[in-house]
Amino acid sequence: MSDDFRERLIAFLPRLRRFAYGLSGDPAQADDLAQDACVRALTYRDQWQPGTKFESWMFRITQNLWIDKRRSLKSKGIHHDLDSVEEPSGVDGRDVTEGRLTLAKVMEGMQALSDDQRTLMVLVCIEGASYKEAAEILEMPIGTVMSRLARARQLLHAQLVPAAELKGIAKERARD
Amino acid sequence: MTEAGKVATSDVSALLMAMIDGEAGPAELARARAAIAADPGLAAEADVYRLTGYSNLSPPFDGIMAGPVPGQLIHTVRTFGLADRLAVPSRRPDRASFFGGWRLAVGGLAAAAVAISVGVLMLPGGSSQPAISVAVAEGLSGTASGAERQIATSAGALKFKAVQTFRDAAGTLCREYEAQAATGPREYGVACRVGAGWRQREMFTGETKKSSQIGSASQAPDDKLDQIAEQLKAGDALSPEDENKLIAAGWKVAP
Repeated sequence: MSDDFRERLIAFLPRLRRFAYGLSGDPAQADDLAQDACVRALTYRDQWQPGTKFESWMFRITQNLWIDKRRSLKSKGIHHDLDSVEEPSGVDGRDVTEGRLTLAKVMEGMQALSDDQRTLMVLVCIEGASYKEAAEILEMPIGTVMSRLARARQLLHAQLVPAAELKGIAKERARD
Repeated sequence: MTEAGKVATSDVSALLMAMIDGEAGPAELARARAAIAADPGLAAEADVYRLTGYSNLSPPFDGIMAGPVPGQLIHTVRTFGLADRLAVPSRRPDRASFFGGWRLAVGGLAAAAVAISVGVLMLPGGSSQPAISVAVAEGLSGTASGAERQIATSAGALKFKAVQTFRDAAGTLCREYEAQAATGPREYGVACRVGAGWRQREMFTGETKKSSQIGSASQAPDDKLDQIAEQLKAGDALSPEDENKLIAAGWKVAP
């Protein structure tokens, strides 16, 4: 095992934790998931080919682990520890339109999405993956990525900005 | 994909989204604009994709990126699979660091479950103190307190700073240190002599109060470690003269 691989993994930990948090919505589960992903990566390190994108490989490992974990959690339901995230300050559509989204608000909205949709949202809209990268990580056609992602964003937007508030914002803008 | 590496789609929603995300090629861009011109209602849909795009959704997660990574996680990466050096800390490291100090409701049971699930081993003799890297050990053995040096590793230079040397209540020589690898978070640790080497007694990672971007962070790792070192210390820190003698002697203490 080269130190380079471990150092690369350590450097990637902040992003890995962010990705894991985006999937799970729970800090404790996120750290456990990140740790499990690291262990799996170290165990199967020979399967990663230098020259290929390390981040994509790690995201795929983490996503697969999360699917496994979700299956085992399904009967119990997800423990979503929003209490440990900053308290939402109430829904205000202007927070969204003016870029003042909070982590808690985003994660609350993400809970309305399916696992597949949430994964796509995290990959593309939080991690900044391209559609092509997301398609490779999730092993699905790029057209499927795009149609699912568009639907996910519509759903999330509806969670973040209820229709009534959108109308209010539109009226305010019209007055301006 | 188009020749420009952009996506091609016939789905109007996907087309609008690709336009907003900068993933539409010239032909798709033209089609998207034409679609909006023909149906102004589509502009509102495009706004949905803009508001849920990377530039708007990613910043709320910046706190996670900037927050300290739990020492347990780093330790696992550093030692997993190295059977001769593998160990788990005596307690789960500061899990409260996930969002720069936000408290997490995670107990020791979870830590035990993780330890079991990843197959980590205890050191021979039941020691629960984790091993440290070769570079940090080199820094501990050869750096005077207050001095900083760079130690070459295969992954780049490790910046090492020794803070102080002291004895614990059992008379064991210990050193407080800071280390910053070429990549990864800064480490703040206390390591003590065990046999002919060093073992980590405590370790935290993250940013100091001065460098942290997280305003609401709880106690910074360097302050936390200073407190722990004070608790471990039995008496004053060693003088520079005594420390130099130990460095020169390879930390061998006369029986």
